[in-house]
Amino acid sequence: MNLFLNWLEKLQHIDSRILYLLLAVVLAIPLVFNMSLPIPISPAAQGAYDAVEHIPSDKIAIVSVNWSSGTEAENQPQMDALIRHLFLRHKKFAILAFDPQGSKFGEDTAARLSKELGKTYGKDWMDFGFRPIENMVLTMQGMARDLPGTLVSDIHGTPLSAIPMMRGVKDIHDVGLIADITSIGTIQAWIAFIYGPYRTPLVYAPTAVMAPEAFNMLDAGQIKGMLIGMKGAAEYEKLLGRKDFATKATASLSTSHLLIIVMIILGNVGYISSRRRRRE
Amino acid sequence: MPILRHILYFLRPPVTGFLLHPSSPWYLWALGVVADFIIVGGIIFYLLKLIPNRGRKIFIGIVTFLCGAVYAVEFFIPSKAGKDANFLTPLTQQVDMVTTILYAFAVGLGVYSLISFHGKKIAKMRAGWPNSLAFFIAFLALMIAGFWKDAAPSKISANLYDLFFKVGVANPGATMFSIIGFYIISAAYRAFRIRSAEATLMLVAAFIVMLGQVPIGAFLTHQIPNHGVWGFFRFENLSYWILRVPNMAAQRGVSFGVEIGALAMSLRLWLSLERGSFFEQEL
Repeated sequence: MNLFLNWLEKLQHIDSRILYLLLAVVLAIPLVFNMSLPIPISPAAQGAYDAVEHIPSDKIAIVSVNWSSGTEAENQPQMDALIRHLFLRHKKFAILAFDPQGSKFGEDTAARLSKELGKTYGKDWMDFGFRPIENMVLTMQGMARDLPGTLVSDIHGTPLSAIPMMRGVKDIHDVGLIADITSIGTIQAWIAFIYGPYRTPLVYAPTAVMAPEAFNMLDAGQIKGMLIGMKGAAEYEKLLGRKDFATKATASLSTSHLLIIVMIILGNVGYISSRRRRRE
Repeated sequence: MPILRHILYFLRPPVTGFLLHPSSPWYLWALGVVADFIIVGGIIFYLLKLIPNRGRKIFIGIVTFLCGAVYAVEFFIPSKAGKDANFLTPLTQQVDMVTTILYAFAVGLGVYSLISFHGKKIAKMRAGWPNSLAFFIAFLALMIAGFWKDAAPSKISANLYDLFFKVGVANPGATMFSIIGFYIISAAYRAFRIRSAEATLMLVAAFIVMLGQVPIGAFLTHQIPNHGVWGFFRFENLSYWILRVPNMAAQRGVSFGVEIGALAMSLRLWLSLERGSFFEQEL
């Protein structure tokens, strides 16, 4: 009995290196063996999908890319799915980045999907490029009142008046949706300076760790939908009828979450047995 | 660049505002900006030096109050009929622009401090100097590739920039961040202990949300019909309920607290009531 209790107590002191190895293994297995699990659609993801579907044909969408490489695993699949949806439904959109790395990721993603789906730059999509985040509020307020006067030219320096899809776009009333794909708190500014005064629909694609704070905005209708991290991207892929990276990677998320739960339980088993022994 | 020329022309500093025209050549503009910076900046610094130490604090307090007042008053004055702006709105944009310029100085200061720190480390061959050398190589490589791509767009310059971006920025960034996952499992394993009823409650909620956020949760409870009363007990629905109800209530409480704190802090800064740390330092 004593030997067994000793063994149980050791469960709360497992070497970190063993944990790291276990995590690496459980992350790799689903990716290697292409495991597939059912992905239920949350109302938040459905709301985002519906918001894209309902963009009026005479308005453009803005894809605001505000993340950097650190959150690539979560934000890149979200961006892939959203941009693919916009292309598939022939919704014209523009990339706008308040993060220098985000600008590059946004441009590369839109260019790649544009090539894949046979779309044309300037006609189906365009890129405003990077705008400094320190100037974000000024940019938002300015584009709400005079979009071409504030953003002036695209990422290549072409005046907006020379870009076919931007003809007729004067201010925020010509924008049918703003999708904020982000790892920072930009959604607060979009709500305060765009949704508040103009009621432009917003879709939010944050990292999973940011999502719990956003349920207030979702409940208040300030955001029409939300993609919660990689799981949100996987749900969106399912809505699009696709099985891309997020769908495959959510199996890895599943196994890693299970491992964390199992390890927490084991740690507590060790903790309880050592506490009981001390009492005795 | 044309926008900058128009802004400077509009603001009318001595050289760029009066001696130059927006159509003047770029090198004259570059010289003009430097000359204006020296003249205007020199005058401002000289005038600030004339004010005694105590007076400088009062002066800064007045400028801070006036700039803050522009935003506060602009918010409360109704917009003109049919417009989204009132007479103070253009002034807020000017204040925003000043803020942007100050941020630009911070970027310059950041670059200077990085170069100075790593430069000294290499010069004195201190421990870890190869890391500083790696910084300089990466910094210069990406900067040169970026400028080259913009100055002479070609397939080679674009590919080189892409390569440096992926190898030097994107992949290391993603790798560094993903390593956190390994620390999280170790930290969760060691920290989550059911020491009290509250901790147990939190642990149970965490398990449900964790399982509800991944497909395996849905798989584990997929036998439960998704409609009716029992559907609530499927992991994905239970998790969504926790996020939408108890979590939201807690988040709202936290948000109210944070916003009231931010309001109090803003008032203290606006009215120059803040004390302690660098607010007490001699200027």
